[in-house]
Formats: sequence, C-alpha cells, structure tokens
Amino acid sequence: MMEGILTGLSAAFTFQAIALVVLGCLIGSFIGMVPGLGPMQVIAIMIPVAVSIGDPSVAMIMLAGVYYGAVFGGSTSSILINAPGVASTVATSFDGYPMARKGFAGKALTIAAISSFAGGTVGAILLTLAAKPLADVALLFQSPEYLAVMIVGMTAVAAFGERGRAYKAVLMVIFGMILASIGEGSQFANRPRFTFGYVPLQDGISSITLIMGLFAVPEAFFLILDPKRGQYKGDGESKEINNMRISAQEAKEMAPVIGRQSILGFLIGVMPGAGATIASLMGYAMERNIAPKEKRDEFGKGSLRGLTAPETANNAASTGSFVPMLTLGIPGSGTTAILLVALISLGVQPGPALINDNPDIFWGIIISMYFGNVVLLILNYPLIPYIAKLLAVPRTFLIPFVLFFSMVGAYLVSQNPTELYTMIVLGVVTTLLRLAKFPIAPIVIGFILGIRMEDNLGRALTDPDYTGFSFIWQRPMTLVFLLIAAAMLLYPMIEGRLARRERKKARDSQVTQD
Amino acid sequence: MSRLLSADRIVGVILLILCCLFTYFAFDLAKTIPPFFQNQPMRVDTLPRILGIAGIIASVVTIIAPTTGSSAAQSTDADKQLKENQDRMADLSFDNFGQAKWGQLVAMIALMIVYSTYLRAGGFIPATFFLLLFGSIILGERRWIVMVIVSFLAPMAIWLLVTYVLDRTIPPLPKAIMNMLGA
Repeated sequence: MMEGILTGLSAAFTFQAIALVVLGCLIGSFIGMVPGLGPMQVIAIMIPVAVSIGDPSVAMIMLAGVYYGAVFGGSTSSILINAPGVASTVATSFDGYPMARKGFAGKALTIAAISSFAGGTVGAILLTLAAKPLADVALLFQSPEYLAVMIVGMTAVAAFGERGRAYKAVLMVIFGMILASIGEGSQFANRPRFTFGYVPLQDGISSITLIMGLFAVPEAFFLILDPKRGQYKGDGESKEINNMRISAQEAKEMAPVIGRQSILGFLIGVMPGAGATIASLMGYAMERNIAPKEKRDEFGKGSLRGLTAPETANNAASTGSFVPMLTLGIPGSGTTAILLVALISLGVQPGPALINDNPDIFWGIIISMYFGNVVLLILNYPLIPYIAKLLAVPRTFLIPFVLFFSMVGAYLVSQNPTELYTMIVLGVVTTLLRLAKFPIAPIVIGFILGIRMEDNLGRALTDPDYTGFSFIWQRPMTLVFLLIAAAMLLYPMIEGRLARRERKKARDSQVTQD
Repeated sequence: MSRLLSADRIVGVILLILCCLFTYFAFDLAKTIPPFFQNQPMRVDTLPRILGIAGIIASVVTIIAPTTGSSAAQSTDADKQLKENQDRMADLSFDNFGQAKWGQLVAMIALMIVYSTYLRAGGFIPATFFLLLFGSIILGERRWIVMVIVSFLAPMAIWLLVTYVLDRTIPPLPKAIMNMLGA
C-alpha cells in the first residue's frame, strides 16, 4: 500500500496536476453553485477537456477536483440563497439557510467547509485502507462473478431508487443497455448491430454524447421550461458574508457529529445506488433523532448539528462511491458512472486490474482526494464571497451557454453532426422521461455496464468448463451474488405490496368503525 | 389514487412498443450470422435477445403496476420537512406542464438543429455567434449591446481554447472563406 501511495503522490504532485486540481476545484465550485447544475453536469461538460489532456492520471485528478468543487459549490448556494444546486445538498439548506438568514452566513459557510473537508478526508482515509484488500478479492473473480456483480450493481441502483417503483429503474437500466448494444461494441458482437445501414451509427453511440444528452442538455431544457427553477423559497438575496469564525464550544459540538457521519456516510456511499443524497438525508434525520431535546428543537432553525451532519455525510459518501468504481469498475452512482465514461474515453480499462496495471491512476485519484479537499478549504473558502457574486448570471445567458458547451463537447468527439443530432434526440427523450419521473442515472449505468456485461457473459458461455448457463450453479459465488440481486429486486416490490395491503386494511377497518 | 392514464403508463406503452421492435430486430439478426457462427454458445444476438425480452417484461410491469401516490407514510415533522424540501428540488411533472414554456423549448431545439447542421459550413465562430445571440433572444433577453458583445467574445475565447489549449481543430470561419484563404 505504501508503494501505491507513493506512486499516487508522484502522480498528483506534479506542477501540471496541482494546477489542474486547483482549476478543476474552481470551475467545479463555480458551476456547482448554479442551481440545477451539479457534479454530473459539470463533469460531463469537462470530459472533452479531460480527454484532450491525454494523460489519464492527470485528467482523472482534474475531474476529481471538479467533482469535489461541484459538491462544495452546491452547499454554498444552499446556504446563501436556499437554492441547492443538486439533490445531495438539499439537506444542507435545511439548517444552513436559516443560519444565514439569522446573520451567520459566514459561520454557516465555515461549518460547511470544515464538515466537507472532514467528511471527505475521513472518506479518503477509509478508501485508502479499503481499496487494496477489496481489489485483491475482486482479482479472484472470473467472468461469471463479474457478470453477477454487475447484475448486483444494477439491481442495487434500481432497489435504492424511488420507493416501490424499482421496476421503473430496472426499465431504465435495460434501456441503457439497449442503447449500448447499437453498433459494434462488445468483442462478441463481431459485426455492427442495429445500425440499419447508417454508417455513423457503426461505432455506436459515443458515451460522451450520451452523458451530454442525458444530463447537461435536459437540465438546460428544464431551465427553459420552468423559469422559476432554481429560485426557491429564499428571499432571493444573497446573504451578507461576515464573521466566518466559529468558537471552540461550537467546534466541540461538531466533532462527534463529524465522527459519526463521516463513517456512516462513507458506508452508505460504498453501496451501489445509495449515494450522497441518501447519506445526507439519513445523516440529518439520524442526528436529529439522537440529539438531546433542547438541541433537537433547533433543527430546521439553524442548528449547528443539522448543518454539520449532511455536509459531512454527503462528502464522505461521495468518496465512498469511488470504492466500487475503483475496485470493481462498477459505477454505484450517476456521478461515478460519468467518471467511468471519462476513464474509458481516456483508454483505461476499469476493473480490479486497474490497481496493478495503472497504479498511477488508481492511487493518483485517491491522493487527489486529500489534495482536493485541502485545496477547497484553503483556496475556495476565502474566495466564496466573490464567487457568490457571480451567481447572478441571468438565465437568458446561462442556458444558451450550457447548450453551447454541450454541443461543442459532443462535436469534438468525431466532428460529425450526427453526434449532435443524437445528443439532441437523447436530450428530448430524457426530458420527457424526467417529466414522467423516470430516474435517469440508471440509463448511463446500464449503458456503461452493457458492453462489459456482454463480454463477461460471452467469456462465461464460451468457457469449456461450463455448458451453457451452468456457471450459475457451478460457481457458488456467482450463485450467491445472483441471489442477492434477486432479493434486492424483489424486496421493494414485496414491501410496497405489503404497505398497500396494510393501508387498505387500515382503511377498511376505519370504514367498518364508521 | 389509481388512475387509468398516468405518465408511467404512457411511457410504459411507448417503451413496450420500442422493446417489441428491438426484440424483433434482435431475433432477426440470426439471419445475418454466417453458418460457422450459428452454433457458437455466444452469438452477436444473445444479449440483445435477453435484453429485448427483459425490456418487454419490465415495460409490462410498469404498465400494470398500480399508480398510487407516494407510498411513504409521513409520520414525523422531520419526514414532512424532508418531503417538502425534496419537493422543492422536484422537476416539473405531467401534472403542471401546461404552465411550462414549451414555445421557447421548441424554438431552442430548432436552433440547436440548425446549429448542428450548419456548424461545419458556417464556421465555428459565426455559427456560435448566431447560436448564442438567437438563444438569448428566444429566452426573452433584450439587452442588445451586451448580447452582441457576449455572443462575439465567447466563441472567440472558446475557439482559442480549443485550438491552442486542447489542441483540436475546428474550422473557425465559413468553408468558402477558409477555402479562399487556402487553409
């Protein structure tokens, strides 16, 4: 592990890498502050830049910086104008905004910065410790296990989706896999499929075009459709940022919350499908429940604990979600799925072999996390008041620019207008799916895993040790994974059914009582 | 309460039709496989067939699943507060889309298609100038001087960035002028 850390240090501590992390953090925090534009959109827009850098470890370090910056920027706009840039910072606004309204905007930002830093750093330490052993276990996997683990990842994404609506997420995963099967992707698809003789489709849909179409373009479309989007219940004014200090007493109150939430957040983040949003909401609810009575009443009115908990948990969870991505090559969240797109676009094959084949990338990303957190704390924090002023970019300029950046990004892939048409069509389809409340992240997860699942299915099926699908029961680990997947898929459905039955029973008994 | 026509069901039906078509083409692929590959355990159509059928099942489940409102019972204040705050992040939905700016969206999509089509012929800088200018006009911006300056400077800056920092070539000017310049 020491050797790996040193490799990572040497990758992350070059002038180029440091400059790019700083730049990435700044761009990330700035764009992340814009309501509606979160880490997924920022990273999507930055991938073409990352691909142009060429050196995968430096490019990934920069994108990691963009990621932390965007998460941090979302917290800032939650606190200052009650406009969470992304779902994962919604819980931050519960107590952060009331605190700012009381005139403690500076203090709220400090608490957020410290909590984020602590959550991110503890997460990074846990990731450092967990990564190598997990990757070693993953190296024992053969194709059947990979296939099964990917299925577990996909079903987990579905199971943690909207309650009782897992089937919608499943449908979206399948939709993503269907999109991935267009063109010649897998080594077993030895000729282009579903192109209908249309040459530009032969290479399939480019993953960069896909994520622009799934995340950046629809966000701009929603900003067009709903001019009030992003203007939440706040009074619309940016709060005066004054005294940014916190007292020793306050620091003492924060410490145990940070301790609990960084570990809890990390563990939630490791689970595929449950990312920063769930961690922050759970962290908030948990701290509220265990707080002593007089402290509990402060929640929602500017509680110190209520702000510390979600900020710590969402950053720890963001770090935790790198565990399945780095060790198994399986994205547990929309954001890590997009980072995987970047990795693949840079010509790196993600998976358990990554740690041995490309230690500079593997450890570089991990080291950049420590570094990114420090950069955010010392560089961004004093700059916040100035960056916040830039928040006032009017939507009449913002929207055309988001669309322009998305189109340039997709155009740079192959300089072919087909990429742009594909992106526009995907954008329209995604907008309609979002209107109907279908989750979007499962599409990109299905898309990324689709081809790799096909490769592993192919290897398992052609392996002379098994006949047909016999690997399912011939390899116990595969069977266990598949059973876990089935349980995760069926449990929410059964749970939903039981809940409905309970309610019906309750209603019926009420009717008879009346 | 249960409604016959819901957003889930409309999307479910559309996806069901698409999955049926996909499944048809997936099974149709077999015709194109050369005889030697016909008996391989893993063929080009193996996964598409599985996906097609899985897609049909998932869309049927989406269509027949009961459409009740949010299932989570709200017991405590914290839950209510969470719910309320989550609602603030929620998208528009099929229920309130009448108020949305559909005209602006359609105009913007049309503008994007025109941009995609004429980006190469029109050159990056002029095409982007018109994209940003008309984009702002569609959204109701009328500060003409600001708009013209922004729309002119931004494509220049991005072009310089793409060319000199990212090291990629995009023809900056219309094809005819580039040809005249002999580039």
